[in-house]
Amino acid sequence: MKSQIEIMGLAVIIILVAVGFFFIISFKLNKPQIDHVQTLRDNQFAQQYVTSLVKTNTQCGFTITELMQDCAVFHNINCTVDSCTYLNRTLEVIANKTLLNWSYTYNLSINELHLEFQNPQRNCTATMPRAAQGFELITLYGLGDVMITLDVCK
Amino acid sequence: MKPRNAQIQLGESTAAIVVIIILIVLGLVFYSVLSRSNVDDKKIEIANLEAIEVASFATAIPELHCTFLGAASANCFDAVKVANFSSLLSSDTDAYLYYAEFFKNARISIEEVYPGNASWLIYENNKSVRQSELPVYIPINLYYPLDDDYSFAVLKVVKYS
Repeated sequence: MKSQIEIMGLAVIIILVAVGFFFIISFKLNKPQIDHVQTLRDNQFAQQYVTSLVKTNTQCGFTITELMQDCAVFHNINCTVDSCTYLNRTLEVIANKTLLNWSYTYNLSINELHLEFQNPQRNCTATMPRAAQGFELITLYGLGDVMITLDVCK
Repeated sequence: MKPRNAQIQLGESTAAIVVIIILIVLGLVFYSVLSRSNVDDKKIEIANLEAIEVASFATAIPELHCTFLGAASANCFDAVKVANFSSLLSSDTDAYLYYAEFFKNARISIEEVYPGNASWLIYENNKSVRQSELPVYIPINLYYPLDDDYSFAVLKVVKYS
């Protein structure tokens, strides 16, 4: 009888230790992992990307900003093709060589011009959590404005 | 000779202590394994933070920036300055050692994305074996003063740790 009680005591100790471990493990695993480095990097990246992009000169000689303005309103530029087609091709090349090449989940868009570029494998939809957003507003000199936006999804 | 009651109790106590010690040792081993994975995560995070620190310094150094009438332009690197800076660090040991204090164990390069595809290795000091998990990419404009053209480029920083 006495030895049975001692065995029960041992069993209780083992159960207590097991429960303790269970709590430690569940606490460690459920602790949210906030990647501050990634957040910092994404926040700067998206804005710098768009800011640099709009200033870039194309092979045709015009900047991305000028192509956006012409595509939206003026329709004067001719780079063997019209400005909208040329803009589309240029942005696709740049996005493929950078964002797609680095396997980012992204959405580079100019809503007013109906242009949108995404990672074909992983779309960055409106419902997905955003890591960062960068945008640049291009003026159309009294005729409104056009906005280019880059969303980087998590 | 039959063992006495006290001897039996002593044996039981010893067995209980042995079992408890085994449990504690197992617990410590388990905990150390968990801690080690945490330390590895921290190391990666620190390496990434250092990469950002180096990248921030690299983007801020006035030696490479585009300047117009003395004013620096944000996010813009002068291609001529970049080329000269790159060749200076590869040929002048004193200059290299001076910047090594700031850049530490890292690889800093500028890669033109569009319209050209030029690239420059600004700095490299690879004394350690392991590489930080992800390189830091910073989109920039590369300015060609002779043509007055901007190209889209990326400043790439890989921090070695």
